[in-house]
This record gives sequence, structure tokens and C-alpha cells, in this order.
Amino acid sequence: MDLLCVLDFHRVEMMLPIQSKINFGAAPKKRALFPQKDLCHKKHIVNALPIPVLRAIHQTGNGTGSQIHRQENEDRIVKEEIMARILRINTRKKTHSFEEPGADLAALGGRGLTSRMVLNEVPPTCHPLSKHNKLVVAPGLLTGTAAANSGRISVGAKSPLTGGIKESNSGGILSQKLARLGIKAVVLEDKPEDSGFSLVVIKKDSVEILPADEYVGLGNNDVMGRLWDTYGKRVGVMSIGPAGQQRLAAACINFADPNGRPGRAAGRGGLGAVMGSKGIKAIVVDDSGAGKVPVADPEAFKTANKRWVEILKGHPVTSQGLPAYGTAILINIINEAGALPTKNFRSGRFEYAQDISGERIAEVIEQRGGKTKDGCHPGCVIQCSNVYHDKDGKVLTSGFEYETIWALGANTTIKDLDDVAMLDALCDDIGLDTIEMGVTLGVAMEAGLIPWGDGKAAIDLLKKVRTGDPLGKIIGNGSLFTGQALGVDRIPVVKRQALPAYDPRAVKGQGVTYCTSPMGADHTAGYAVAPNILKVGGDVDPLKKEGNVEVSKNLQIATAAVDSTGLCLFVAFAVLDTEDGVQTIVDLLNAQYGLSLTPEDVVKLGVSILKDEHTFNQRAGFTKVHDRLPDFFADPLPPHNVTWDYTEEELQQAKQYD
Amino acid sequence: MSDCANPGDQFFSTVLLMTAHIALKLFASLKRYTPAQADRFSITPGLTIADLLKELNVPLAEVKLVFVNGVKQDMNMPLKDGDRVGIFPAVGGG
Ligand code: SF4
Repeated sequence: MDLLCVLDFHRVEMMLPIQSKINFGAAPKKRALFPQKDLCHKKHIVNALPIPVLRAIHQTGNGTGSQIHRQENEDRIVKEEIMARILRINTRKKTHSFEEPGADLAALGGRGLTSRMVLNEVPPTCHPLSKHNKLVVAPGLLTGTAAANSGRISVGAKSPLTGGIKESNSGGILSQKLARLGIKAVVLEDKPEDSGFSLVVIKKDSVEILPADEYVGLGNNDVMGRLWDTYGKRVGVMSIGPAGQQRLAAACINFADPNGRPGRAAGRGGLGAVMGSKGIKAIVVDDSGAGKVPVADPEAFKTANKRWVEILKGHPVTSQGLPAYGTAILINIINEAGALPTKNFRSGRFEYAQDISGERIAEVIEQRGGKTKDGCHPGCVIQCSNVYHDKDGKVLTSGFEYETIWALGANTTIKDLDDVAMLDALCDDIGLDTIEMGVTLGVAMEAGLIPWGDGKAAIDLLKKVRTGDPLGKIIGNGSLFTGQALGVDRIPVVKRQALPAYDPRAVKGQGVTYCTSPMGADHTAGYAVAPNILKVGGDVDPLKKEGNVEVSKNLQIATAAVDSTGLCLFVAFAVLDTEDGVQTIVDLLNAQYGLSLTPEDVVKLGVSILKDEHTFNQRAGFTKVHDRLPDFFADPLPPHNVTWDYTEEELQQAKQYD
Repeated sequence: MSDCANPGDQFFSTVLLMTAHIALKLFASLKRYTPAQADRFSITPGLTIADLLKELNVPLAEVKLVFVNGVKQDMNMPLKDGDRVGIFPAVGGG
């Protein structure tokens, strides 16, 4: 309970669990602006600040502005020509334009930027597939630099699945390339009047919007393969499969990994349908000829990154557990904890858990070839990803992850690992969110459409999404839609989005996140599994309510901030256990932008992002009644026979920031 | 049964009382320490988890999480007949 004890005493620090164990007793370290640097060096740093950041500082009077010599800032604003810009693409007119980010966007990246832009520019009451919605794709604040694990990307829009704001985060190689081209965000706007599809090709000196006829109808594997053939191996690609083209609510956007495979996805919330509604089949990013991302203080950056790599390489989870067994290492532990949702959330234990466990997958990969460790983008020092081969030694799928394996495995009681891998491969190719589809298949089994545990029947059903079969259209719209179509009363969703791989009754902090995250039921939005089950960042009883609202709230804040940096969320396992973890991230940001942020500022950033997101949702019509789990979670869950017993008022505490 | 009617009986019942069985599982990198008959592993009732791990030569520094009957426990927890014990190194994912 160290997390909570300490948190009670220090209000500001309370919001930042990532330093819970060690640092909270001490006052946050304030770094002097550019300590030990002479004026000359200081000027150099100021000159490297992006203009928008400087403008933001001037206009808001926040942060360090007053400490920076005003004249220097103004000089810089006049002189500087190259800066990170926003690329807007009008999908109706097939035109594009670049613009400087305004003051309130300048200092933002990743989720902070996508959510602010959606809040500012998308009418919250619009239909998500209408011309009024926008798809915003943004690298994080550290993306493109040498900082380890900083190449993630955020995709934001109003979600066709939840009807609320959405940020979906992905790996892949596109993000770093955008950042190197000095593109802070790509925004798809408006909507074509015809039903044709286009391809966007972004290069150093050009943006083209081309007919995509030859790619229409193809799965993501073929699209990426052909685009690599045409535009060169190693270009970044984001694309939609047949599901996104049909604008189905479970459609995702897939990102090419370093091998050119669609194993990475902005999975949740149906963002593939938004891209489909804009008539964009794929975006190619070629960063040939691009320079490096400017770093204000390269020496400080190098020092901070050295420490950063040490932290990630020094923690047993990020240096051993994740690379050796992948994220599926969780199957056994969540099962042991009695929280692995089985047979559409009927039990917390799956009899055949070991057959689909990370340990088993590692064994199979060893026997058949493939890769037990792989990175989703260059610069990842953790390498949680993998490549899984079929019985004949051919690549079956990659990025075969815990959530996916749970959803398509334990949740449907399919225990044949090859069937689970095939379902994953189909999702990647058709462009479907694996979590949503696993839960949807569970709902279909609940209805008796296909038998429980029947992998082959599930594969046949999933294939129907590709062909536009009416049944395919039903399941491609996700769990709630399918449950309604089939007359099922047991549909595990919050804000219409399927629950991920932890039963909320047995991991209560996670349940609070499902209910109160602006994203709908989402595991990454506030990963309370860490202190609830894994003893990372504290140790809070998962089966009792006490302390878990606070845990979820703090993690939601920290996560919103991390999602803005472009860092992979898995860094949190090491950061939560390391005294100078958060400070090191802050050091990286400070060195890149020449700022003097403190961990406190990171907390403020997290809070401001959540406020933006909740504001959008409120305007879209969400109230506290949407922060509920379905009724059946009041039934006891074996083996612990725990129930979901929070009141509405208790849950709302997780959204009180002031 | 009369007291000490048969020395063999007494011996037998003492042994019965002194032995408990647990279902023991070691996961991930700790799997290699799994003993024979781990599903029905004999222990002296009251044996603590720390003692059990020492008996199996599992380096304590490599153990991060111990579950007994699905609940996280610390190393001093005494074990009893019928317990389900899961031992894990530091793991994470998501
Ligand atoms: S740890 Fe995994 S998800 Fe994170 S950056 Fe590396 S490969 Fe990608």
C-alpha cells in the first residue's frame, strides 16, 4: 500500500504514481533553466526551440517564458524557417496545405495533440462518418529522436464505435518518418462525394493524392507489399483493409512494422472506418533526404538517453520478461490471479490457459522458426513483439499479443494456438481490432451462431467480413451491434467498446479505468493491472474497492502524458520502479525542446488532456450513466466470487481533477 | 482404533498428518525449477513459501510474485494441504 500512503500526503505528486515508491516524499526537483550553460550556449538552445513553442510561451505567459530572454525569442521567431508543421489533406478536393500550429497546439504531440485538435475542430455531435469528422495522425513529442522506444503514433477522431473522442496508439515505422519530415500531424478532412479511394504519398518535398483503384479491396498484407514494391522497402505505410473500406465500427488502421507486415494497429474505436469514410486506402511516408529532428541541447539529450536506455535495460520486465515471452507472458499470471475473462466473462480461469500462454508460444516459435523477440519500430530496446510461424514454417502472424490471444482464445474458449494465430492474421489483413473481434466472436458463440471453442467455425465467420456478406457486416460492427442483432443479453462493453483482457471484478482498478476513461473500455488508458496484480508501481488489492479509484485516476493521468511523448507505454514497467524514471523522461523533453519542465508539468499535461477528452464527450452527450459496466458484472466471478460493486458516485471520483 | 495397538498404524497416521500436498507451478524463467510431481507436491504443513523455494533451489532474488489460491502472498505465508501455488518472476505486458 505504499503507493496510497504516500499519495495521501502530497497532492500534486499524488497524481503521478510513477514515482510513488521513492520520490514522493521529496519536493519535486526544479531544474534551473539551462544550468551551467553560458549565455552563448543558452542562445543556441533558445534558437533551436520550435517557434510555436516560443509563441505559446509568449502568449500564455506559462512555463519558462519569462525566464527566456524575450529578444532572443523574437529573433528566433523571425529567423526560423523550418519547423514542425501540420499537414491538412482535403479528401474531397484532393488538395493539401501545410500550416504552422497555433499557440495552443505548439507544445503538444501525440495524444495531447490529437485530442486537442479533435476538441477544437470536430463538432462533438457530428456523425463520425460524416465530412465534419477529422482523422488526426500525430507522432509524439520525442518521436524521431534517438530516444529509446519513442516511435509510437497517436491517431485521433470521433469514434464510430463509442461516439466519443478516441485516441488509438500504434507502433510501426511511419511515426518516426513523419517526425523526421517535420510533420507534427496529418489531418484528413472533409469527405469525397464519390465512392472512390485515394492513396496519399508524403515525401520530403511533395504530397500527392493519387487514385488508389489498384489497391481497393485488398487486404493489408497485399497493400503493404505492393506499396513497398512501388515506393521502396522501408517506407512507412498506414492502411485500411476491407473492414475499413466498408466503414465498419470495429475497423482498425494498420501500420507496417519494420518487416512491412501489418502486425501493428491503431486498433480500438473503429478509426479504420473514419479513414474509409474519407476515401483514403493508405498513406505512404518516405523520409528519404530528411534531416534529423532538431534537438536543442544534443549533449544533455545524449546523457538523458543513456540513462533512459539503462533504465529500460536494467529492469527485469523490460529487459527479460517482455523480450523472452512477449506480452502473452501475462496469460498465466492473469489466469493464476483468477482474472482471465473466460467464456465471455463467465470465469476468471481458463482450463487451457497454458496452451495459449507466452511460455507455450515461445516453445512453438523455437520449434518452428520465427522470432520470439522483435521491435515494432527501430529504436525499441524492449522488443516485446514476435513472428509466429505455422506448422509448415511459414509466417502466420506477427505482433501476436496478450490481448489478442486472450480475446480470440480464452474468451471464446478456443484453445488451439494455431487457430488463434490464424484469427489474428485475418484481423490484421481484413483490418479489424482483435480485442473487439474476440469479444464479438464470444457474443456470437453466446447466441449459438457458432459453437464455443470452435476455432474453424470462428475463422469461417471472420472471413465473411472480407467479402461484405451481411453476417460479416454484423460482426464487423463489433460486440454490441452483434449482440443486438443476435438477441444476446450478455455483452461486455463500456461506451459500446468491448472490454479487454482483465475481468473488472477481479482487477478492480482496471474496472475503474474501463468505466471512467474517455475512451470507453480500454486497458492501456490506466493500467491498474500493474499495481493490482504485477506489484509494479505499488501493491493494491485487486479484489477490494479500497484505493482503486485513486490508482486508476493517477494512472490515467500519467498515461495521457506518456501517450503524448511517443514513448511506448511498456516503458512504464521500468519507470514505475525506478527512482529517476519520470525525471529522465522529463530530461529528454527538456533537452529536445530547451525547456525546464518538471514532473509536475507532466502531471498537468496529463490532466489537461483528460479534461479535453471529457469535455468533448460531454458535448457529445455523455454523462455519468455512460460510465457503467453492464449489469451482469454484479454476478459473482469464480474463482474468487467477487462482484462489481462500485456506486456511480464512487466512480466519478476518478474524473475529479481539481 | 485403540491407542498404539499397532506401531505400524501409528507411524502411518503420523506421516499422514505430517504431509500436505500442494499444486505447485513455476512460470516463465522459473519453470526450470519445477520439481517432479509438482501437481501434487508433498510438503510439511506450515512450510513457508520462502522455505519451499529454498528447498527447490529457486533463487529468491528471481521471484517477484507468489500467488496462493489466486491471491498474492508474501514469502512468509505458511502453506497447507490443497493450496494452489504459482510462482512468477517479474512480468509485464498488456
Ligand atoms: S516494447 Fe513492444 S510495443 Fe513497445 S515499442 Fe517495443 S515492440 Fe513496440
